[in-house]
Amino acid sequence: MSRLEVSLAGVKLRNPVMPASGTFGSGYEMSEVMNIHRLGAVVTKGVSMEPWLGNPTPRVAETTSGMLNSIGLQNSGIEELIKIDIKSLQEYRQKGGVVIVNLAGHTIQEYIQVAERLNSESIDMMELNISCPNVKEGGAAFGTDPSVAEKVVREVKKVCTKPLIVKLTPNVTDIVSIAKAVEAGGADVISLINTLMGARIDIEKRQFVLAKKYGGLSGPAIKPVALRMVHQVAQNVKVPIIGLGGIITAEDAIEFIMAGATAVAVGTATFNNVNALENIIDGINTWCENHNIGNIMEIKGVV
Amino acid sequence: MIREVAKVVSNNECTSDVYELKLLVPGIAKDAKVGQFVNVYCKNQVNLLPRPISISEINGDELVLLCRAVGVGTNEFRDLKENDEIVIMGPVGHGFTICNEQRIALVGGGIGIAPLVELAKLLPKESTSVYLGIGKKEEVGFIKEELFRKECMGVKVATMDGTYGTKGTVMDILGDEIFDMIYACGPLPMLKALKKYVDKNNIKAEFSLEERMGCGGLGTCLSCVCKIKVGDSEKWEYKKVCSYGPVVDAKEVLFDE
Repeated sequence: MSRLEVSLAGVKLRNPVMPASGTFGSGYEMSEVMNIHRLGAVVTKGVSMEPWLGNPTPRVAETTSGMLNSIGLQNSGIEELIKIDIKSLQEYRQKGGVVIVNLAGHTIQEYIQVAERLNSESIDMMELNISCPNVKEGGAAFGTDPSVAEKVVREVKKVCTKPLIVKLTPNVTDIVSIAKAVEAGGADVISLINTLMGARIDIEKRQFVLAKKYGGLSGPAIKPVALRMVHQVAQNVKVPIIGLGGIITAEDAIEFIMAGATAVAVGTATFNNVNALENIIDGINTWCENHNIGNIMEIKGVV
Repeated sequence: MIREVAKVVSNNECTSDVYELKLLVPGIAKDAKVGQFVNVYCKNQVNLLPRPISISEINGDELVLLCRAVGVGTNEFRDLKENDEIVIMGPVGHGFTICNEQRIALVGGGIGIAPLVELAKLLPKESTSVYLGIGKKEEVGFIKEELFRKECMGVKVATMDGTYGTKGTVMDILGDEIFDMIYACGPLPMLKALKKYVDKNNIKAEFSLEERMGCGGLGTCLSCVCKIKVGDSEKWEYKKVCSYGPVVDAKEVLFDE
Protein backbone atom coordinates (compact mmCIF):
# COMPACT_ATOMS: atom_id res chain seq x y z
CA MET A 1 0.00 0.00 0.00
CA SER A 2 1.39 3.34 -0.99
CA ARG A 3 1.69 6.20 1.44
CA LEU A 4 -1.47 8.04 0.43
CA GLU A 5 -3.70 5.14 -0.58
CA VAL A 6 -6.96 4.84 1.35
CA SER A 7 -10.09 2.74 1.05
CA LEU A 8 -13.73 3.87 1.24
CA ALA A 9 -16.24 1.02 1.57
CA GLY A 10 -13.97 -1.28 -0.40
CA VAL A 11 -13.17 1.29 -3.08
CA LYS A 12 -9.46 2.06 -3.27
CA LEU A 13 -8.38 5.68 -3.71
CA ARG A 14 -4.77 6.43 -4.68
CA ASN A 15 -4.93 9.39 -2.31
CA PRO A 16 -7.60 10.77 0.02
CA VAL A 17 -8.17 14.03 -1.87
CA MET A 18 -11.22 14.80 -4.02
CA PRO A 19 -13.16 17.87 -5.09
CA ALA A 20 -16.41 18.74 -3.30
CA SER A 21 -19.52 18.27 -5.39
CA GLY A 22 -20.66 21.40 -7.20
CA THR A 23 -17.29 23.15 -7.19
CA PHE A 24 -15.60 21.17 -9.92
CA GLY A 25 -18.18 20.75 -12.67
CA SER A 26 -17.72 17.18 -13.75
CA GLY A 27 -13.96 17.31 -13.85
CA TYR A 28 -13.32 17.74 -17.55
CA GLU A 29 -13.90 21.49 -17.27
CA MET A 30 -10.89 21.56 -14.94
CA SER A 31 -8.59 19.55 -17.23
CA GLU A 32 -7.70 22.78 -19.01
CA VAL A 33 -5.94 24.15 -15.95
CA MET A 34 -4.89 21.12 -13.88
CA ASN A 35 -4.03 17.42 -14.04
CA ILE A 36 -7.19 15.69 -12.82
CA HIS A 37 -5.45 12.31 -13.06
CA ARG A 38 -3.73 13.09 -9.78
CA LEU A 39 -7.01 13.17 -7.83
CA GLY A 40 -8.06 10.30 -5.60
CA ALA A 41 -11.64 10.72 -6.77
CA VAL A 42 -13.74 13.11 -8.83
CA VAL A 43 -17.17 14.05 -7.50
CA THR A 44 -19.56 15.40 -10.11
CA LYS A 45 -22.06 18.21 -9.64
CA GLY A 46 -25.46 17.14 -8.23
CA VAL A 47 -27.69 15.50 -10.81
CA SER A 48 -31.46 15.04 -10.82
CA MET A 49 -33.73 12.99 -13.08
CA GLU A 50 -34.93 15.96 -15.13
CA PRO A 51 -32.99 19.20 -15.80
CA TRP A 52 -33.27 21.82 -13.03
CA LEU A 53 -33.12 25.55 -13.83
CA GLY A 54 -31.50 26.64 -10.59
CA ASN A 55 -32.01 29.90 -8.71
CA PRO A 56 -32.05 33.52 -9.92
CA THR A 57 -28.89 35.66 -9.66
CA PRO A 58 -26.95 36.87 -7.74
CA ARG A 59 -26.13 33.33 -6.73
CA VAL A 60 -22.84 34.03 -5.02
CA ALA A 61 -21.43 36.49 -2.51
CA GLU A 62 -18.01 36.68 -0.92
CA THR A 63 -17.79 36.83 2.86
CA THR A 64 -14.88 37.18 5.27
CA SER A 65 -12.76 34.06 4.65
CA GLY A 66 -15.60 32.40 2.84
CA MET A 67 -18.42 32.65 0.37
CA LEU A 68 -22.16 32.18 0.16
CA ASN A 69 -23.74 30.32 -2.70
CA SER A 70 -27.28 29.77 -3.78
CA ILE A 71 -27.04 27.90 -7.06
CA GLY A 72 -30.08 25.71 -6.51
CA LEU A 73 -28.57 22.58 -8.07
CA GLN A 74 -28.86 23.75 -11.66
CA ASN A 75 -28.16 20.69 -13.81
CA SER A 76 -29.02 19.26 -17.19
CA GLY A 77 -30.49 16.02 -15.88
CA ILE A 78 -29.25 12.46 -15.66
CA GLU A 79 -29.26 11.60 -19.38
CA GLU A 80 -27.04 14.55 -20.23
CA LEU A 81 -24.70 13.65 -17.36
CA ILE A 82 -24.37 10.09 -18.61
CA LYS A 83 -23.91 11.12 -22.23
CA ILE A 84 -21.35 13.87 -21.66
CA ASP A 85 -19.93 14.05 -18.15
CA ILE A 86 -19.55 10.39 -17.22
CA LYS A 87 -18.23 9.61 -20.68
CA SER A 88 -15.63 12.34 -20.40
CA LEU A 89 -14.42 10.85 -17.08
CA GLN A 90 -13.75 7.37 -18.47
CA GLU A 91 -10.11 8.03 -19.32
CA TYR A 92 -9.60 9.26 -15.76
CA ARG A 93 -11.40 6.16 -14.42
CA GLN A 94 -9.44 3.73 -16.60
CA LYS A 95 -6.23 5.20 -15.25
CA GLY A 96 -7.27 4.36 -11.70
CA GLY A 97 -9.37 7.36 -10.71
CA VAL A 98 -12.57 6.89 -8.72
CA VAL A 99 -15.74 8.47 -10.13
CA ILE A 100 -18.42 9.54 -7.66
CA VAL A 101 -21.75 10.91 -8.87
CA ASN A 102 -23.69 13.23 -6.56
CA LEU A 103 -27.45 12.61 -6.54
CA ALA A 104 -30.11 15.30 -6.14
CA GLY A 105 -33.86 14.89 -5.88
CA HIS A 106 -37.06 16.64 -4.85
CA THR A 107 -38.60 13.37 -3.62
CA ILE A 108 -37.44 9.97 -2.40
CA GLN A 109 -38.77 8.56 -5.66
CA GLU A 110 -36.54 10.89 -7.68
CA TYR A 111 -33.41 9.87 -5.74
CA ILE A 112 -34.34 6.22 -6.38
CA GLN A 113 -34.83 6.82 -10.10
CA VAL A 114 -31.46 8.55 -10.44
CA ALA A 115 -29.71 5.77 -8.50
CA GLU A 116 -31.36 3.07 -10.61
CA ARG A 117 -30.42 4.84 -13.80
CA LEU A 118 -26.79 5.06 -12.68
CA ASN A 119 -26.38 1.44 -11.52
CA SER A 120 -25.30 0.21 -14.93
CA GLU A 121 -23.00 3.15 -15.68
CA SER A 122 -19.21 3.15 -15.40
CA ILE A 123 -18.97 4.91 -12.07
CA ASP A 124 -17.65 3.76 -8.69
CA MET A 125 -19.80 5.33 -6.01
CA MET A 126 -22.84 7.51 -5.54
CA GLU A 127 -23.19 10.39 -3.09
CA LEU A 128 -26.68 11.13 -1.81
CA ASN A 129 -27.13 14.86 -1.28
CA ILE A 130 -29.67 15.24 1.51
CA SER A 131 -28.13 18.50 2.57
CA CYS A 132 -28.44 21.22 -0.08
CA PRO A 133 -29.71 24.37 1.67
CA ASN A 134 -30.72 26.03 -1.59
CA VAL A 135 -33.65 23.95 -2.84
CA LYS A 136 -37.09 24.02 -1.31
CA GLU A 137 -38.05 20.38 -1.64
CA GLY A 138 -35.59 17.59 -1.19
CA GLY A 139 -32.07 18.57 -0.24
CA ALA A 140 -31.77 19.56 3.39
CA ALA A 141 -35.44 18.79 4.05
CA PHE A 142 -34.37 15.13 4.09
CA GLY A 143 -31.22 15.70 6.06
CA THR A 144 -32.50 17.50 9.15
CA ASP A 145 -34.77 14.84 10.66
CA PRO A 146 -33.12 11.57 11.70
CA SER A 147 -36.10 9.34 10.88
CA VAL A 148 -36.64 10.94 7.46
CA ALA A 149 -32.91 10.75 6.70
CA GLU A 150 -32.82 7.08 7.66
CA LYS A 151 -35.83 6.35 5.45
CA VAL A 152 -34.37 8.10 2.37
CA VAL A 153 -31.08 6.25 2.75
CA ARG A 154 -32.82 2.91 3.30
CA GLU A 155 -35.00 3.33 0.19
CA VAL A 156 -32.12 4.42 -2.04
CA LYS A 157 -29.90 1.68 -0.65
CA LYS A 158 -32.48 -0.93 -1.70
CA VAL A 159 -31.89 -0.15 -5.37
CA CYS A 160 -28.35 1.27 -5.42
CA THR A 161 -25.74 -1.31 -6.42
CA LYS A 162 -22.73 0.95 -5.81
CA PRO A 163 -21.34 1.97 -2.44
CA LEU A 164 -23.46 4.85 -1.17
CA ILE A 165 -22.04 8.00 0.41
CA VAL A 166 -24.53 10.17 2.31
CA LYS A 167 -23.71 13.87 2.59
CA LEU A 168 -24.93 15.61 5.74
CA THR A 169 -25.98 19.17 6.46
CA PRO A 170 -24.52 20.96 9.48
CA ASN A 171 -27.74 22.95 9.88
CA VAL A 172 -29.08 20.63 12.58
CA THR A 173 -29.20 20.59 16.36
CA ASP A 174 -27.55 17.20 16.73
CA ILE A 175 -25.30 16.00 13.92
CA VAL A 176 -24.58 12.71 15.69
CA SER A 177 -28.21 11.58 15.69
CA ILE A 178 -28.43 12.24 11.93
CA ALA A 179 -25.18 10.40 11.30
CA LYS A 180 -26.30 7.40 13.33
CA ALA A 181 -29.63 7.39 11.49
CA VAL A 182 -28.07 7.31 8.01
CA GLU A 183 -25.66 4.62 9.16
CA ALA A 184 -28.63 2.59 10.38
CA GLY A 185 -30.29 3.21 7.02
CA GLY A 186 -27.33 1.57 5.31
CA ALA A 187 -24.98 4.40 4.34
CA ASP A 188 -21.59 2.97 3.37
CA VAL A 189 -19.76 6.28 3.82
CA ILE A 190 -20.74 9.60 5.39
CA SER A 191 -19.51 12.92 4.03
CA LEU A 192 -19.77 16.13 6.03
CA ILE A 193 -20.25 19.02 6.17
CA ASN A 194 -22.30 20.67 3.44
CA THR A 195 -22.59 24.47 3.71
CA LEU A 196 -23.90 26.43 6.69
CA MET A 197 -26.91 28.64 6.04
CA GLY A 198 -25.98 32.31 6.02
CA ALA A 199 -26.73 35.72 4.55
CA ARG A 200 -25.18 39.03 3.51
CA ILE A 201 -26.85 42.41 3.21
CA ASP A 202 -25.94 45.27 0.87
CA ILE A 203 -26.41 48.24 3.21
CA GLU A 204 -26.56 50.83 0.39
CA LYS A 205 -29.29 48.98 -1.44
CA ARG A 206 -30.85 47.83 1.84
CA GLN A 207 -31.36 44.36 0.49
CA PHE A 208 -29.85 40.90 0.64
CA VAL A 209 -26.94 40.31 -1.72
CA LEU A 210 -28.24 36.91 -2.84
CA ALA A 211 -31.44 36.83 -4.87
CA LYS A 212 -32.74 34.06 -2.60
CA LYS A 213 -31.67 36.00 0.53
CA TYR A 214 -29.98 33.05 2.26
CA GLY A 215 -27.29 30.77 0.91
CA GLY A 216 -24.73 28.19 1.93
CA LEU A 217 -21.55 29.43 3.60
CA SER A 218 -18.31 27.65 2.69
CA GLY A 219 -14.60 28.35 2.91
CA PRO A 220 -12.10 28.64 5.77
CA ALA A 221 -14.69 30.48 7.88
CA ILE A 222 -16.52 27.20 8.51
CA LYS A 223 -13.52 24.91 9.03
CA PRO A 224 -13.60 24.81 12.83
CA VAL A 225 -17.28 23.89 12.78
CA ALA A 226 -16.70 21.17 10.19
CA LEU A 227 -13.76 19.76 12.10
CA ARG A 228 -15.74 19.58 15.34
CA MET A 229 -18.64 17.82 13.59
CA VAL A 230 -16.37 15.32 11.80
CA HIS A 231 -14.80 14.46 15.14
CA GLN A 232 -18.18 14.05 16.85
CA VAL A 233 -19.49 11.83 14.08
CA ALA A 234 -16.29 9.78 13.90
CA GLN A 235 -16.66 8.99 17.59
CA ASN A 236 -20.14 7.61 17.03
CA VAL A 237 -20.28 5.73 13.72
CA LYS A 238 -18.30 2.86 12.22
CA VAL A 239 -18.55 3.79 8.54
CA PRO A 240 -15.72 5.82 7.00
CA ILE A 241 -16.03 9.60 6.73
CA ILE A 242 -15.18 12.07 4.00
CA GLY A 243 -14.41 15.32 5.80
CA LEU A 244 -14.93 18.70 4.19
CA GLY A 245 -15.55 22.31 5.03
CA GLY A 246 -13.02 25.06 4.44
CA ILE A 247 -9.98 22.98 3.56
CA ILE A 248 -7.41 25.22 1.84
CA THR A 249 -4.06 23.63 2.70
CA ALA A 250 -2.55 20.19 3.28
CA GLU A 251 -2.40 21.04 6.99
CA ASP A 252 -6.18 21.60 6.98
CA ALA A 253 -6.67 18.22 5.33
CA ILE A 254 -4.42 16.50 7.88
CA GLU A 255 -6.48 18.06 10.68
CA PHE A 256 -9.61 16.43 9.26
CA ILE A 257 -7.91 13.05 9.03
CA MET A 258 -6.67 13.37 12.60
CA ALA A 259 -10.27 14.18 13.59
CA GLY A 260 -11.34 10.86 12.12
CA ALA A 261 -11.88 11.32 8.38
CA THR A 262 -10.61 8.70 5.92
CA ALA A 263 -10.71 11.11 2.97
CA VAL A 264 -11.20 14.82 2.40
CA ALA A 265 -13.01 16.97 -0.13
CA VAL A 266 -11.95 20.44 -1.25
CA GLY A 267 -14.36 23.00 -2.67
CA THR A 268 -14.02 26.75 -2.23
CA ALA A 269 -10.20 26.53 -2.25
CA THR A 270 -10.29 25.64 -5.95
CA PHE A 271 -12.01 28.95 -6.72
CA ASN A 272 -9.10 30.75 -5.09
CA ASN A 273 -6.43 28.60 -6.71
CA VAL A 274 -6.99 26.07 -9.48
CA ASN A 275 -3.96 24.14 -8.22
CA ALA A 276 -5.30 23.81 -4.66
CA LEU A 277 -6.13 20.09 -4.92
CA GLU A 278 -2.73 19.16 -6.35
CA ASN A 279 -0.97 21.34 -3.77
CA ILE A 280 -2.87 19.59 -0.98
CA ILE A 281 -1.93 16.12 -2.29
CA ASP A 282 1.74 17.13 -2.53
CA GLY A 283 1.60 18.76 0.89
CA ILE A 284 0.12 15.70 2.61
CA ASN A 285 2.73 13.51 0.97
CA THR A 286 5.60 15.74 2.11
CA TRP A 287 4.20 15.97 5.64
CA CYS A 288 3.97 12.17 5.86
CA GLU A 289 7.50 11.83 4.55
CA ASN A 290 8.80 14.29 7.13
CA HIS A 291 6.97 12.48 9.91
CA ASN A 292 7.90 8.95 8.84
CA ILE A 293 4.31 7.98 8.16
CA GLY A 294 4.07 4.80 6.07
CA ASN A 295 0.40 5.26 5.25
CA ILE A 296 -1.79 8.27 5.92
CA MET A 297 -4.31 6.11 7.83
CA GLU A 298 -1.77 5.83 10.66
CA ILE A 299 -2.87 9.30 11.77
CA LYS A 300 -6.61 8.78 11.26
CA GLY A 301 -8.51 9.70 14.41
CA VAL A 302 -5.39 10.18 16.51
CA VAL A 303 -6.83 13.09 18.45
CA MET B 1 -6.55 29.74 -19.88
CA ILE B 2 -3.53 29.90 -17.59
CA ARG B 3 -2.63 31.11 -14.13
CA GLU B 4 0.26 33.53 -14.28
CA VAL B 5 2.07 35.94 -12.00
CA ALA B 6 1.75 39.38 -13.57
CA LYS B 7 4.12 42.27 -13.01
CA VAL B 8 2.64 45.72 -12.59
CA VAL B 9 4.03 48.05 -15.27
CA SER B 10 2.08 51.05 -14.05
CA ASN B 11 -1.01 51.91 -12.07
CA ASN B 12 -2.45 55.33 -12.81
CA GLU B 13 -5.31 57.09 -11.12
CA CYS B 14 -7.83 58.30 -13.70
CA THR B 15 -10.49 59.65 -11.35
CA SER B 16 -11.11 59.43 -7.61
CA ASP B 17 -12.22 55.80 -7.92
CA VAL B 18 -11.06 54.59 -11.35
CA TYR B 19 -7.52 53.48 -12.12
CA GLU B 20 -5.70 52.06 -15.11
CA LEU B 21 -3.60 48.99 -14.35
CA LYS B 22 -0.96 47.99 -16.91
CA LEU B 23 0.28 44.45 -16.40
CA LEU B 24 3.18 42.56 -17.94
CA VAL B 25 1.63 39.13 -18.39
CA PRO B 26 2.97 37.59 -21.62
CA GLY B 27 1.34 34.15 -21.37
CA ILE B 28 -2.17 35.47 -21.01
CA ALA B 29 -1.67 38.50 -23.29
CA LYS B 30 -0.53 36.19 -26.11
CA ASP B 31 -3.91 34.43 -26.16
CA ALA B 32 -6.15 37.33 -25.15
CA LYS B 33 -8.89 38.42 -27.53
CA VAL B 34 -11.03 41.54 -27.57
CA GLY B 35 -13.93 41.35 -25.12
CA GLN B 36 -12.48 38.61 -22.93
CA PHE B 37 -11.75 39.07 -19.23
CA VAL B 38 -9.18 37.99 -16.66
CA ASN B 39 -9.45 36.97 -13.01
CA VAL B 40 -7.43 39.01 -10.59
CA TYR B 41 -6.72 37.40 -7.21
CA CYS B 42 -6.41 39.28 -3.93
CA LYS B 43 -3.22 39.04 -1.91
CA ASN B 44 -5.26 39.11 1.25
CA GLN B 45 -6.48 35.52 1.60
CA VAL B 46 -9.51 36.68 3.58
CA ASN B 47 -10.89 37.51 0.11
CA LEU B 48 -10.93 34.19 -1.66
CA LEU B 49 -12.82 34.76 -4.87
CA PRO B 50 -11.21 36.05 -8.05
CA ARG B 51 -12.30 39.43 -9.38
CA PRO B 52 -13.36 39.13 -13.03
CA ILE B 53 -12.16 42.25 -14.87
CA SER B 54 -12.55 43.11 -18.55
CA ILE B 55 -9.48 43.39 -20.71
CA SER B 56 -9.44 47.00 -21.86
CA GLU B 57 -6.40 46.85 -24.14
CA ILE B 58 -4.01 44.20 -25.40
CA ASN B 59 -0.57 45.65 -26.17
CA GLY B 60 1.95 42.93 -26.98
CA ASP B 61 2.97 41.31 -23.70
CA GLU B 62 0.87 43.77 -21.72
CA LEU B 63 -2.76 43.94 -20.73
CA VAL B 64 -4.51 47.12 -19.66
CA LEU B 65 -7.31 46.85 -17.10
CA LEU B 66 -9.56 49.78 -16.35
CA CYS B 67 -10.92 49.22 -12.85
CA ARG B 68 -13.33 50.98 -10.55
CA ALA B 69 -12.73 50.61 -6.83
CA VAL B 70 -16.03 49.26 -5.59
CA GLY B 71 -15.04 46.89 -2.79
CA VAL B 72 -12.25 45.19 -0.89
CA GLY B 73 -10.70 43.52 -3.94
CA THR B 74 -10.67 46.45 -6.31
CA ASN B 75 -9.53 48.69 -3.43
CA GLU B 76 -6.56 46.37 -2.88
CA PHE B 77 -5.61 46.48 -6.58
CA ARG B 78 -5.77 50.29 -6.54
CA ASP B 79 -2.80 50.28 -4.19
CA LEU B 80 -0.61 48.16 -6.49
CA LYS B 81 2.70 49.83 -7.35
CA GLU B 82 5.09 49.48 -10.27
CA ASN B 83 6.92 46.11 -10.15
CA ASP B 84 4.43 44.58 -7.68
CA GLU B 85 3.36 41.06 -8.54
CA ILE B 86 -0.18 39.77 -8.68
CA VAL B 87 -1.77 36.48 -9.69
CA ILE B 88 -3.97 36.54 -12.80
CA MET B 89 -5.87 33.77 -14.58
CA GLY B 90 -7.12 34.06 -18.11
CA PRO B 91 -8.00 34.90 -20.74
CA VAL B 92 -11.59 33.88 -20.11
CA GLY B 93 -14.79 33.73 -22.13
CA HIS B 94 -16.09 34.60 -25.55
CA GLY B 95 -15.37 38.15 -26.63
CA PHE B 96 -16.69 40.43 -29.37
CA THR B 97 -16.92 39.33 -33.00
CA ILE B 98 -15.45 41.84 -35.42
CA CYS B 99 -17.83 42.86 -38.22
CA ASN B 100 -17.53 44.75 -41.51
CA GLU B 101 -20.77 46.68 -41.29
CA GLN B 102 -21.03 50.24 -42.57
CA ARG B 103 -22.67 51.87 -39.56
CA ILE B 104 -21.26 50.62 -36.27
CA ALA B 105 -21.87 52.05 -32.81
CA LEU B 106 -19.86 51.43 -29.67
CA VAL B 107 -22.02 52.16 -26.66
CA GLY B 108 -20.41 52.31 -23.24
CA GLY B 109 -21.79 53.23 -19.86
CA GLY B 110 -19.56 54.05 -16.90
CA ILE B 111 -16.72 51.60 -16.33
CA GLY B 112 -18.38 49.44 -19.01
CA ILE B 113 -16.42 51.54 -21.47
CA ALA B 114 -13.36 49.39 -20.66
CA PRO B 115 -13.70 46.50 -23.15
CA LEU B 116 -14.72 48.89 -25.96
CA VAL B 117 -11.27 50.49 -26.04
CA GLU B 118 -9.54 47.52 -27.69
CA LEU B 119 -12.57 47.00 -29.90
CA ALA B 120 -12.32 50.58 -31.21
CA LYS B 121 -8.81 49.82 -32.46
CA LEU B 122 -9.97 46.78 -34.43
CA LEU B 123 -13.04 48.17 -36.19
CA PRO B 124 -12.84 50.26 -39.39
CA LYS B 125 -12.43 53.89 -38.36
CA GLU B 126 -14.74 55.36 -41.00
CA SER B 127 -17.65 53.09 -39.98
CA THR B 128 -17.52 53.39 -36.21
CA SER B 129 -19.12 55.97 -33.93
CA VAL B 130 -18.78 56.03 -30.15
CA TYR B 131 -21.43 56.90 -27.56
CA LEU B 132 -20.33 57.12 -23.96
CA GLY B 133 -22.46 57.71 -20.89
CA ILE B 134 -21.05 58.78 -17.52
CA GLY B 135 -22.34 60.37 -14.34
CA LYS B 136 -20.44 63.62 -14.23
CA LYS B 137 -17.60 65.62 -15.77
CA GLU B 138 -14.97 64.25 -13.38
CA GLU B 139 -15.39 60.82 -14.98
CA VAL B 140 -14.03 62.12 -18.28
CA GLY B 141 -10.71 61.09 -16.71
CA PHE B 142 -11.24 57.44 -17.62
CA ILE B 143 -13.27 57.42 -20.82
CA LYS B 144 -10.30 57.55 -23.23
CA GLU B 145 -12.01 60.16 -25.39
CA GLU B 146 -8.83 61.01 -27.28
CA LEU B 147 -8.12 57.39 -28.12
CA PHE B 148 -11.68 56.86 -29.32
CA ARG B 149 -11.44 60.05 -31.46
CA LYS B 150 -8.26 58.74 -33.04
CA GLU B 151 -9.64 55.26 -33.75
CA CYS B 152 -13.24 56.11 -34.66
CA MET B 153 -15.30 58.54 -36.69
CA GLY B 154 -16.86 60.48 -33.86
CA VAL B 155 -17.42 60.45 -30.13
CA LYS B 156 -20.46 61.70 -28.24
CA VAL B 157 -20.59 61.89 -24.48
CA ALA B 158 -23.58 62.17 -22.16
CA THR B 159 -23.42 63.04 -18.46
CA MET B 160 -26.27 62.48 -16.05
CA ASP B 161 -25.81 65.93 -14.49
CA GLY B 162 -25.09 67.75 -17.75
CA THR B 163 -21.62 68.95 -16.68
CA TYR B 164 -20.02 67.56 -19.86
CA GLY B 165 -21.42 66.83 -23.31
CA THR B 166 -25.16 66.23 -23.49
CA LYS B 167 -27.26 65.99 -20.33
CA GLY B 168 -28.87 62.61 -20.01
CA THR B 169 -28.07 58.99 -20.65
CA VAL B 170 -26.32 57.33 -23.54
CA MET B 171 -29.78 56.59 -25.01
CA ASP B 172 -30.34 60.33 -25.39
CA ILE B 173 -27.25 60.79 -27.57
CA LEU B 174 -28.01 57.76 -29.73
CA GLY B 175 -31.11 59.65 -30.84
CA ASP B 176 -32.72 58.32 -33.99
CA GLU B 177 -29.57 57.19 -35.70
CA ILE B 178 -29.76 53.88 -37.48
CA PHE B 179 -26.97 51.36 -37.19
CA ASP B 180 -26.13 47.98 -38.68
CA MET B 181 -24.28 46.80 -35.59
CA ILE B 182 -24.02 47.90 -31.97
CA TYR B 183 -21.47 46.76 -29.42
CA ALA B 184 -22.31 47.65 -25.83
CA CYS B 185 -21.12 47.29 -22.27
CA GLY B 186 -22.46 49.11 -19.25
CA PRO B 187 -24.86 49.04 -16.32
CA LEU B 188 -27.97 46.88 -16.50
CA PRO B 189 -30.48 49.76 -16.97
CA MET B 190 -28.47 50.89 -20.02
CA LEU B 191 -28.39 47.40 -21.53
CA LYS B 192 -32.12 46.96 -20.89
CA ALA B 193 -32.91 50.23 -22.70
CA LEU B 194 -30.54 49.31 -25.51
CA LYS B 195 -32.07 45.85 -25.82
CA LYS B 196 -35.49 47.45 -26.44
CA TYR B 197 -33.91 49.80 -28.97
CA VAL B 198 -32.13 47.11 -30.98
CA ASP B 199 -35.11 44.73 -30.84
CA LYS B 200 -37.47 47.46 -32.05
CA ASN B 201 -35.19 48.58 -34.87
CA ASN B 202 -33.96 45.10 -35.69
CA ILE B 203 -30.30 46.02 -35.24
CA LYS B 204 -27.63 43.39 -34.71
CA ALA B 205 -25.92 43.85 -31.37
CA GLU B 206 -23.49 42.27 -28.93
CA PHE B 207 -23.63 43.01 -25.20
CA SER B 208 -20.86 42.35 -22.72
CA LEU B 209 -22.49 41.22 -19.48
CA GLU B 210 -21.41 41.38 -15.87
CA GLU B 211 -22.39 38.96 -13.10
CA ARG B 212 -21.00 37.88 -9.74
CA MET B 213 -18.72 34.88 -10.24
CA GLY B 214 -17.28 32.12 -8.07
CA CYS B 215 -14.92 29.88 -9.97
CA GLY B 216 -13.56 32.56 -12.26
CA GLY B 217 -14.58 31.30 -15.63
CA LEU B 218 -13.93 27.57 -15.54
CA GLY B 219 -17.66 27.03 -15.66
CA THR B 220 -17.65 24.81 -12.59
CA CYS B 221 -19.63 26.82 -10.03
CA LEU B 222 -22.67 27.92 -12.07
CA SER B 223 -22.91 31.23 -10.22
CA CYS B 224 -22.84 33.74 -13.05
CA VAL B 225 -25.79 32.73 -15.20
CA CYS B 226 -27.92 34.87 -17.51
CA LYS B 227 -31.17 34.07 -19.29
CA ILE B 228 -30.68 33.01 -22.91
CA LYS B 229 -33.56 32.30 -25.29
CA VAL B 230 -33.92 28.76 -26.59
CA GLY B 231 -34.39 28.94 -30.37
CA ASP B 232 -37.29 31.11 -31.46
CA SER B 233 -39.57 30.01 -28.65
CA GLU B 234 -40.58 31.87 -25.51
CA LYS B 235 -38.46 29.45 -23.52
CA TRP B 236 -35.14 30.38 -21.96
CA GLU B 237 -32.36 28.65 -20.10
CA TYR B 238 -29.59 29.79 -17.78
CA LYS B 239 -26.21 30.00 -19.49
CA LYS B 240 -22.94 30.86 -17.81
CA VAL B 241 -21.79 34.46 -18.37
CA CYS B 242 -18.17 33.34 -17.83
CA SER B 243 -18.02 30.76 -20.60
CA TYR B 244 -21.03 31.35 -22.86
CA GLY B 245 -20.32 35.09 -22.57
CA PRO B 246 -19.34 37.56 -21.29
CA VAL B 247 -20.26 38.85 -24.77
CA VAL B 248 -23.67 37.61 -25.93
CA ASP B 249 -25.92 38.23 -28.89
CA ALA B 250 -28.39 40.91 -27.78
CA LYS B 251 -31.25 39.08 -29.49
CA GLU B 252 -30.68 35.99 -27.35
CA VAL B 253 -30.37 37.55 -23.93
CA LEU B 254 -33.38 38.21 -21.71
CA PHE B 255 -33.41 40.71 -18.85
CA ASP B 256 -35.77 40.60 -15.88
CA GLU B 257 -38.16 43.54 -15.78
